Amino acid sequence: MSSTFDQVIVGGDVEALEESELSLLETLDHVLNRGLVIAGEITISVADVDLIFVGLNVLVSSVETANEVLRSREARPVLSTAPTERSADH
Amino acid sequence: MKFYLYCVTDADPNLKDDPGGLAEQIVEVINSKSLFVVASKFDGEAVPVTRENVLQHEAIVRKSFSNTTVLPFRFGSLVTESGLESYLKTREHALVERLAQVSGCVEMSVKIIWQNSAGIEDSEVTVPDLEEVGAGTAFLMFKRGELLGNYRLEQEARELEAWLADGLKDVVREEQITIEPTQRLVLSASYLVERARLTDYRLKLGLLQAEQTNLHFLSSGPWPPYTFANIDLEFGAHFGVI
Repeated sequence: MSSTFDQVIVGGDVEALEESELSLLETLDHVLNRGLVIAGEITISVADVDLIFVGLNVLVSSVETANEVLRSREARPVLSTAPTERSADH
Repeated sequence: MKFYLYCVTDADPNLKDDPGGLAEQIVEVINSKSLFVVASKFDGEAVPVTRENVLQHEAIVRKSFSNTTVLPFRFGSLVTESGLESYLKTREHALVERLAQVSGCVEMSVKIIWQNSAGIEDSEVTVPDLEEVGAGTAFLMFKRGELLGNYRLEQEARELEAWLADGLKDVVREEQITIEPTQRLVLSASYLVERARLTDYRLKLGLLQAEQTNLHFLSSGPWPPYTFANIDLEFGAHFGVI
């Protein structure tokens, strides 16, 4: 995957992450958590364990969608979101 | 059969050489008056969140972004043909307006993470010795320390927010900043930056980073304007909802 980063300064816990992993985290943050929403028309299912890798834990506290993904994986295999509740976030 | 939506654009994004959409469907461009919607057919009730699907969504939005102004849809947007028609009809004005506002711009992202020595771990509260004080006193001392720590973190986070906003105000068109004082990732900011000002933005951000060597900066971009795409507030204002 090509990097979307033009500049990365990291340290501490995030040093363990490769730039490509950070790039994926940023992509997840933008694609899953932001963008135009048509009320009631977002339906996703969570099945790919590979998506949730160990590095996600570093930033997961503030990447709300990733948290929801983790919670939904524990709760049930298929999630239908209610985008109207979150559409005002962005 | 529903449509999976990638983005709305202000012109035909000319995706003749596109690599294909989710579920190996052909990517279509649906025209409605002055708007174009990039979509592909999707035979299913839910879109699997996989690495491949997320990257495919981003790739198609990015390809459209290279040719036109776009408002990206959030991943997982599935809609019937009539639902899409209704959406475009009722929100055309807000979409056109939003497209004009993000025209010629890219989104840049900045995340700031507390370091151990400067941030959240400093605010950890010492648990009082129960042999020296009673349980009730210990609890109140603990809560007092916790509240004071949180207050200090919030003050620092707000100062950080103001410092960053002030430093970049001359090179950004719009901004959205979220602070989470009690989290390691204390600040998350998105900036709408004119393409012509990207060099200035990078220069400014670099100077700001040099001022705060005790913080971790995570900077990414340029992105299509995901954060600045939503028209819900504008739509609500038109109809007096908010």
